[in-house]
Amino acid sequence: MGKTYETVIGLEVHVELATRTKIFCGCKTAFGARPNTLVCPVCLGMPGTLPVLNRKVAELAASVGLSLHCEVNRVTRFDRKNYFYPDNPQNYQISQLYLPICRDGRLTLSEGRTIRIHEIHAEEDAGKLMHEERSGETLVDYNRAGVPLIEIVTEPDFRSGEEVIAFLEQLKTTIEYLEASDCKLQEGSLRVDVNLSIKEQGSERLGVRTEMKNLNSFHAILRAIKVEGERQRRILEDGGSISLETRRWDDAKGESFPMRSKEEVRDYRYFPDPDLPAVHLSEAWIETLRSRLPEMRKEKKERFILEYGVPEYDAELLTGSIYLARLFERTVALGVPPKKVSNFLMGEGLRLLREKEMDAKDIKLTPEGFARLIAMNEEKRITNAVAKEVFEAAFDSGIDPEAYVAGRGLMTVRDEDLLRKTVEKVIAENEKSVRDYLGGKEKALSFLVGQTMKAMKGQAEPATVTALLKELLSV
Amino acid sequence: MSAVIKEGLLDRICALAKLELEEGERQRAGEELERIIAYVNQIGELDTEGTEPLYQVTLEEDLEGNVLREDEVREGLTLEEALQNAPKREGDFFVVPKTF
Amino acid sequence: MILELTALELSEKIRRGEIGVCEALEAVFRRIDEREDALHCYITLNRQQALWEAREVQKKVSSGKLTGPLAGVPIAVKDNLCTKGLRTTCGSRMLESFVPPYDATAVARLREAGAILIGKTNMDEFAMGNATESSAFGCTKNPWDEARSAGGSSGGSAAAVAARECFAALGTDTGGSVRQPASHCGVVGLKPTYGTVSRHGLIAYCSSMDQVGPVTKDVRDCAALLTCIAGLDERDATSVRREGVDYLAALSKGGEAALGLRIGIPREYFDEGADLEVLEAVRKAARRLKELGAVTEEFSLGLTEYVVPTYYTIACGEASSNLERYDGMKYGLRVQGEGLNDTYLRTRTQGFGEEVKRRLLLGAFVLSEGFYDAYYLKALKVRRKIRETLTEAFRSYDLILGPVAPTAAPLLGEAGKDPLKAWLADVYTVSANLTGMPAMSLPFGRTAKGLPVGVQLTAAPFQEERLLQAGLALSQE
Repeated sequence: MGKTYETVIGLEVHVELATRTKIFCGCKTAFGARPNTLVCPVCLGMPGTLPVLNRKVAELAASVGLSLHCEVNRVTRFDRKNYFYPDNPQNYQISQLYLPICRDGRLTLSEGRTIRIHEIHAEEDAGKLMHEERSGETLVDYNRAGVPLIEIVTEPDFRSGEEVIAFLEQLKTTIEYLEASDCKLQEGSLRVDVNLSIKEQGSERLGVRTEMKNLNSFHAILRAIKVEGERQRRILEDGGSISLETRRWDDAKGESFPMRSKEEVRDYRYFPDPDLPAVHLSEAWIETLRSRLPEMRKEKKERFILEYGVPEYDAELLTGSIYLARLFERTVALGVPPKKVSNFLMGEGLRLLREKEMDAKDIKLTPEGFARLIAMNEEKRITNAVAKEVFEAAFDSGIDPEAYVAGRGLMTVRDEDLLRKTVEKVIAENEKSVRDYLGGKEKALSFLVGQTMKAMKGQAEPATVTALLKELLSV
Repeated sequence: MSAVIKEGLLDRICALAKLELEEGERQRAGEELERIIAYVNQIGELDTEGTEPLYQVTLEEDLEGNVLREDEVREGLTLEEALQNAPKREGDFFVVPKTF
Repeated sequence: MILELTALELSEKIRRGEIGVCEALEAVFRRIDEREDALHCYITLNRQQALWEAREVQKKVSSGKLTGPLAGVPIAVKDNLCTKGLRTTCGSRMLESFVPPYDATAVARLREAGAILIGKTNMDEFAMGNATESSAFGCTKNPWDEARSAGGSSGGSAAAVAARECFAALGTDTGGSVRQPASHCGVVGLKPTYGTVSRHGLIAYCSSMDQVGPVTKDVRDCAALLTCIAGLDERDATSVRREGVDYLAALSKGGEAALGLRIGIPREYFDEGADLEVLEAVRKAARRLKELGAVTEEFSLGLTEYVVPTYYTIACGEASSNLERYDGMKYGLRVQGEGLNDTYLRTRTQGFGEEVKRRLLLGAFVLSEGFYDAYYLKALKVRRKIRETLTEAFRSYDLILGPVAPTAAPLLGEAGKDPLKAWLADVYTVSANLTGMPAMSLPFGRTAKGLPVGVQLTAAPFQEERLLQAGLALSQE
């Protein structure tokens, strides 16, 4: 009793690379196509076919490595990992064991801790298996087979789920800045396996670890880490021992289950793939790649502060996603004052991302549309309220703000008669508020303005409405 | 009984290769494998200290060889071509025994 | 007699309009009808399609669109080279009904050159064997003596050329599979330098050693076929760029080519239990080369006792992985079992023959945990040592001369008696595969029983021209 345990976590992060074609053949990598239509003899593992490495895979993998301060191996090679399973048409996965493309990197969390990267290797993704309830058989779609992945393997440097999430968020930002991947957990372009063990506080010896798979959201990762830590602690406290195994997280049940039967032989018989000669990456090639790395978040943030006068806090949030930062910058480039753009994004933009649980990548509003929207607002052709409505509508649909405003007749009403009639109607229907106002309660006026705006569907200028109310009530 | 059978090695190798041996074949296969392993064992006699393994005979030092391809889309197979040799199919899918 | 012409002679007559493409093709099919029941060179014939193609090629030849040395020539292809729309079995039950949706690069290049693909030749299952007796579709018999083996694994290709059931053929050579049957059947067989011919569409046995090679009636045909199929292929990362090599043109030198050549003959080759008649052929070839102006010399090559175990360790290791894809899921045979694993087991146990299973077991063993370093990795190190000895030899010699196989064609059934003993017969051929070097088997005389015997010439990487020149000199009376 009374022993304190510490959780020790290492990650294996699989990232699908944003190439046009697969890692070893010319098939498209598109998502959501009809089953078995993005395939060729190579990625179907047909007899006689050979893999040929996609140059872009080497470039993207090495770029991610350089951004994570890795050493890029001058000679990198592919190995076969042999195991029978129908999602892999060859029954071996081409991966990298002996000479991965990158080694020994690090990522420093914003709170200061450094997580060491053990290695980054490139490999091929597998096909998709679907269970058929009716026949009790399994259906296979090989469209994903051969889509390039990198696996980023960290050292066991994490001590909590929060650190893991902080790392993943920073990693995702970095990879998005490089445009190396979509990084979507739900679609599986970012997949995280958690290796977790516990050890007595202060002890040097690591415990036996388990590997957790099927973690489809940051929320699931956090929860699985907590639950698995507790499960291991209970076992140890009961005098049991942890078995080295792979477990599958069931998010609905909130618990995990062992994935493979124990009697199965696990011997991957790795050996260098004789179809793929070693790839020699010259110093010059690596330096060119390094010099072409895009501006990363830290530099961009500093530049936003300096160049656009954006406050530090805003700059931090605006650069949190390359897609948000890019929308900001491209809109500003069209001549819109930075302050206006950042106000919209910081207020409405961040709110919408949060409420709609949207990824910034999926923002559809174009810089041109955004600029026109702000111009309409500035020219008082639409009110602030309408501007917000239009922004929300265009944000994830990409519709043209001007067309939207015109189509729905959202232009600010300048018709004096209509406005006057509406105000008169509001006064007539809100006797109590009128009395309150006339009795000296300024607040009541705000209410009346609000009622009028509502009746005008937001299409009146609040200042005009206020002036009109004051005029009509100042007998 | 041959050592490879006694030590469970034959069963392990069969499991890896996904091959089954009938009871009657086991003895013969075990002895044969043992004989073959003993034969290839003689490569152990040669001193290879300091010698690097040779994986690839013609492109080992070739840096500019035909090792990489450009990221360009190439026409693949049609759905029908992809599935034409499938032992079992249903709609757009290959059908395999239950995996879960 | 059309069938007695070489491929080059035939194509010349076709170009001149003296023989029609269909006429040549029909002659071949008549020959096949006469001999095929006895010899069984082919697994699948491409009769209908070939006739249609012959008419198309004839039009192109007549209109001058096709002028190359293979236009209109009926050619056979080993059944481990994928042919679009024509079943490709690899000699196995596993692929008995497999129809590839694409052509192997070597096949596609032959088609472009106007060669007529007449059928797919018999072979040892997955090219594992040296007698064409492990084929799931029955053995091929030697045209010189039907009680004897045609050799293997490209036995169907070699026998078909020898029996005039085609004008030339493609084989594949991983440990001697082109050269040894060529020797047994009395035809020319060449294994090019690894990387010379694309392996795209060649059903892999051992990826780091497999090469496609010509099986022909003479050295000129061999050069013509090689010129057609060689070259860089973006679908094979191990294929090698070599600009504008015309092997046929390299033969214009004629007999003088042997003048001044330094020929080494490994002394060990005479101590490894080869038949005297085989060794006599080697000595005779050495004398002949000397007469032609070459310098011949015996020398000690070294490490010859290690080549066979090294070869089988590496080849079986790679094969065990290459053949994992045959599992009854996507194509080929499926023997339904109770659940996934049982289906794998039944499919593979029933789909593969004995020799393949033997090699798959050894292959899984040499790659498995605890044994990888001592076997597979060790063999790769020995492989480098073997290459060093050969590279060293080529500092002193232009070519190495030796036997192809320890005996002339053995009686049918011999290979199956003692599998390990059968492996040992590869001792002269596997070095070229382990090191990637080019080697050629050339018919050179007969045994007392009238069986053909070949001799082997090996050259340094990418020295095929020299190999062909010496071969041509040696084959001229």
